[in-house]
Amino acid sequence: MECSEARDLIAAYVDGEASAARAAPLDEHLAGCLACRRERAAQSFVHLELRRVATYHAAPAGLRARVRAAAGAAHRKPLRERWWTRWSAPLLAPAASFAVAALLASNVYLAASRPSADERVAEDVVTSHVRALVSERAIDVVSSDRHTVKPWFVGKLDYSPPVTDFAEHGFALAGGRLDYVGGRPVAALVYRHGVHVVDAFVWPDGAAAAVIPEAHAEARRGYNLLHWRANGMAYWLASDMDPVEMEQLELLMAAARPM
Amino acid sequence: MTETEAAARFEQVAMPHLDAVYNLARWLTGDAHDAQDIAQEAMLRAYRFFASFRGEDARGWLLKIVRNTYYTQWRQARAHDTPAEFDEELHSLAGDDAAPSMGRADANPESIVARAQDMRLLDRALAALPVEYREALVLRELEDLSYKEIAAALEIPIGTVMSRIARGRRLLLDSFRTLTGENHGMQRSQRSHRGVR
Repeated sequence: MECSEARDLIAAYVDGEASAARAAPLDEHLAGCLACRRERAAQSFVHLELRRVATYHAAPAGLRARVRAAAGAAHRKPLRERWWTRWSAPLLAPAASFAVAALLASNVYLAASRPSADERVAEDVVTSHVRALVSERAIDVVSSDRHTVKPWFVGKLDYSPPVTDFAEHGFALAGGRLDYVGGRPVAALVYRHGVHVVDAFVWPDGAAAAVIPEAHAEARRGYNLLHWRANGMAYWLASDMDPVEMEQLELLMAAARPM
Repeated sequence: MTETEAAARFEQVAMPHLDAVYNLARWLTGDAHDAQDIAQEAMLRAYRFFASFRGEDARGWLLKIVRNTYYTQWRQARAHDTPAEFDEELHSLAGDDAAPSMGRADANPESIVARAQDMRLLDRALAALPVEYREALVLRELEDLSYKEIAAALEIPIGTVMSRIARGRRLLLDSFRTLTGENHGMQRSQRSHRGVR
């Protein structure tokens, strides 16, 4: 066996991937060739050292839960465009999070082309959220049970808001509140996420036959807003949570079956 | 398949390999945040294509998706950003048949081990490898895949797997040796004003 032929085989030999028919002549060659024995030593050294000390990066805490939540949601809404994957796409994520941070810092309004009706609603939403935070009346009906919260709205609204608890995903239903947005009484569902409080405003939107393909995020007066339409309803989230966490809740709410 | 069945099967078949998925993504991107994005997107793709999975080798199937996600979405999107760097100085090999570590005074692996107490040097050397060698070595040494499994995951012939691993190890040893030498103040005269990535 020539050195050139042996060289090609040595890696496979070290990996136990060389067939016996090829290993035997290689053994013979190695016995008489110092250069190829050194190559075998080099291959073997890296092979063993990588296994001994190279870092195996285990999935970080939280990734498992995020994958589960995302997979579950994807299953339930295959047709809706998954805007958040683009949002969290690696290319965009650093730029987007930086942009959001910059916008939050300067309190700049993200949406330049928002219709004025939505503009007014956005202002109402953030006002309601702030008012509830500073008042005693953050929650009218305190319950983590949707079977308590949902009926509570009966008679107070001319529609029945979808109510779901997402405690197992980190967003615990804390209760509900009757509020006033865009000149109409609306349901405000209150969720807790760690130290954060999220208000989710939901009401029927006649113009929402067409689903907004992407949720719309903005920062206003230091609070984050997230808005989308689905199933004939308009949804607004208001919180001081991180925009990424807002998206998680959006994902969960959009994925929940109407009930 | 109902939603519950699909979720249960995914949980049982795919989720156990999340570490492998993340590890490959992490070594491909070199960044923890990017790796999480890639891993999550890959798992989501896997979930959506789960029906097409015939149940032979879930880990290999998932690793292939990770790679496709990395190459099709992520790398293309960044192509104009920063081209994959290749440190000519670090990888100063002439060609495949060069035997880099031979004929030099410090070529003896044992002496290298003795000097390289810092295991992070090997990580650095691996991270600096061109991606086609890096992924082959990660699958071989960290995931312990066979050549056949690597060939399936990388979608290349087994002969190419063998040459990538062989050359990857030579490149790695060479850059490892360079880093080790630098770390211990050797070879400074040769590279007094040039850093090594």
